[in-house]
Amino acid sequence: MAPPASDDLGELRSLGGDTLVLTARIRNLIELRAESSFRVNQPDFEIIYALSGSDHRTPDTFHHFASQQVVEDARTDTVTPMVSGIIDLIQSERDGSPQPGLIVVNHTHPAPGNIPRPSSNDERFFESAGRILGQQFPGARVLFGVHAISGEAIRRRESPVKIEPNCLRWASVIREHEVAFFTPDGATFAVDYHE
Amino acid sequence: MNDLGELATALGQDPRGAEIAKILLELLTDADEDARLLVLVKLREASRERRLTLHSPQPSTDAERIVKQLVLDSGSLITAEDVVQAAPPYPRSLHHRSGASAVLNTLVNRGELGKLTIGRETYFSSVQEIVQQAQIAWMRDHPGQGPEQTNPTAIAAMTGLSTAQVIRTLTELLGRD
Repeated sequence: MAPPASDDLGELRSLGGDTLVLTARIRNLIELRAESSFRVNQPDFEIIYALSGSDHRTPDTFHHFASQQVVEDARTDTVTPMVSGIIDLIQSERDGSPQPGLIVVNHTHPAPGNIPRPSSNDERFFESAGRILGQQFPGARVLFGVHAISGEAIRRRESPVKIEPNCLRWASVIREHEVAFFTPDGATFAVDYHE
Repeated sequence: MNDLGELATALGQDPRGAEIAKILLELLTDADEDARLLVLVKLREASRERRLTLHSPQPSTDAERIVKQLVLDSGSLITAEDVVQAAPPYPRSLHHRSGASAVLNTLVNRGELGKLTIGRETYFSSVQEIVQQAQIAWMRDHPGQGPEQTNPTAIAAMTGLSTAQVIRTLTELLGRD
């Protein structure tokens, strides 16, 4: 999905503090990507997607990553991404936009292991992928997100709230979502939500 | 400038103008007279849907107002049976599933609510919520296709809403910040 015009996010860019800022549009796309991945009567599996932005703080583009160009294998408790595919798709989907200042690569933790914290395998991936992405997009801030998502049941929609400095929680009418953000070395990175 | 000249200018200025012109030309130059009639009928349909979307009437009966409020206040997906359970003493028509269904479907036909069948159950909710759930269902059936490839006509068929209303809602949900 193409990024909006460069001055549309000016208000968000002028906000103070060194945090990641998610907009309602990006949150909708995150929810849509995660919830549309699962198949009825089949176990949920891990998926990967990414956000990118022109500045260091505000993602303006959502990268769906549904193709096998990015995902080598996906199971209930693992997803095997190919960093070269991630780079190719981000570059092609930002075609015509300035060099990105922000890259955020998220993967899901579906139920029953729906905890928004990285496993030791995740941390190893953050470190190695972070190094490659940093080389490929010099000057860009590279972050990783862990997106915990509950099983499916009809419920009341709940607006996003910050449950930890680096973690947002909300509920759609069918699933609960918690998304936490980390640096390539596994440290937490603060996030804010802008309706 | 006459209508034809204005059309050429409008198409030339629209980001999708070339695509629209290509389809129109293909149909208008078709040897079969039916193709031109089809263009006319579809364009009239689009114009009518657009007007309805922009001028949706408000609920006009007590039952319609009560049911619409119940559904919107739920913030969730609601069945006709849920409406029967939550209905106030009056009007009594809402104490029967058929009565609740009739009111819910009237509200859907007016574009006030949306509906979606999941499994064997039909759920009602706000237009935005239903379009979002229908888009999720559509994308599940079309793996590999991103949100921008969503087919508004398919979403309209799934939700009972007009294509124009679906397009507007998708733009609100996923358009620019």
